[in-house]
Amino acid sequence: MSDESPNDGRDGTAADSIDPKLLEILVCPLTKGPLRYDREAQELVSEQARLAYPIREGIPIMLVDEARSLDD
Amino acid sequence: MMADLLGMDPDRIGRLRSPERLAYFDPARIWEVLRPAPDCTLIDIGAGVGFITLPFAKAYPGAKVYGCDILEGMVGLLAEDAAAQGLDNLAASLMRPNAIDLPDGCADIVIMAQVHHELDAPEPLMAECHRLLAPGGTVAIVDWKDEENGKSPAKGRRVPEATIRAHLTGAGFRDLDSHEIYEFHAFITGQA
Repeated sequence: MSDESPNDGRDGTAADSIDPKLLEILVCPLTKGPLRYDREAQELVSEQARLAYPIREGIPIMLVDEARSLDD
Repeated sequence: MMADLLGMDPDRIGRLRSPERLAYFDPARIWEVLRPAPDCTLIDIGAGVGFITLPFAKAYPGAKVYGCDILEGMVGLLAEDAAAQGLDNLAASLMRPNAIDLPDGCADIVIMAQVHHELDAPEPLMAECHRLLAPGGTVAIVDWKDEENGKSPAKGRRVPEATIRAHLTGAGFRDLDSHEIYEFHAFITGQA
């Protein structure tokens, strides 16, 4: 394991962390445009829709109703 | 009417469901090697569209089959396809990245196909596979071969077989075995 991946499953956060490659299959459900993964905020950001979709316990919640508006 | 894709890219879903994959990745080859008991319990981690889960549940109607994924869109599609095919032995369920909501030692077989190369840190999920398996149960890993063959992803995106084996050993699996059944994929088993 490299020093760049501190998430070794023993720090209590592993279950909540998501591997970014798993997200490549996702697009914004509203615009069908690309998403940017904000690891710190645990959000998937759609700049086009100005929405941020939350990732809760490592599960992306791809619902517009659950998304945070970037303009608020 | 197809289940809500919930943000999944329809083109990618189409490619995952493409029957053309069968030409080089026939899932039936896996159970030819594993020879599961007719009433086994199998967990497919990262089941996706059910490329393995659906035909297994069909081939083993007496088995209990769980198809797990972190994407609700995938779980919805799999549940819909299982229902359409009358597979009441298949449960599609949502998992967290390294946690499946099933009890210790409940499974005879855990399959992870085409998942390993998507993971930056596979160790916690390997440990979860071990937890789910009954003593003597089998973990089955399928992933792209680490070679330039026109199908495998680019170097850096592939996981050498030795690395997968090290992850399995680290998680407590023993009697590791490699099976040459696919042109483009490595297939490794281990015993819990």
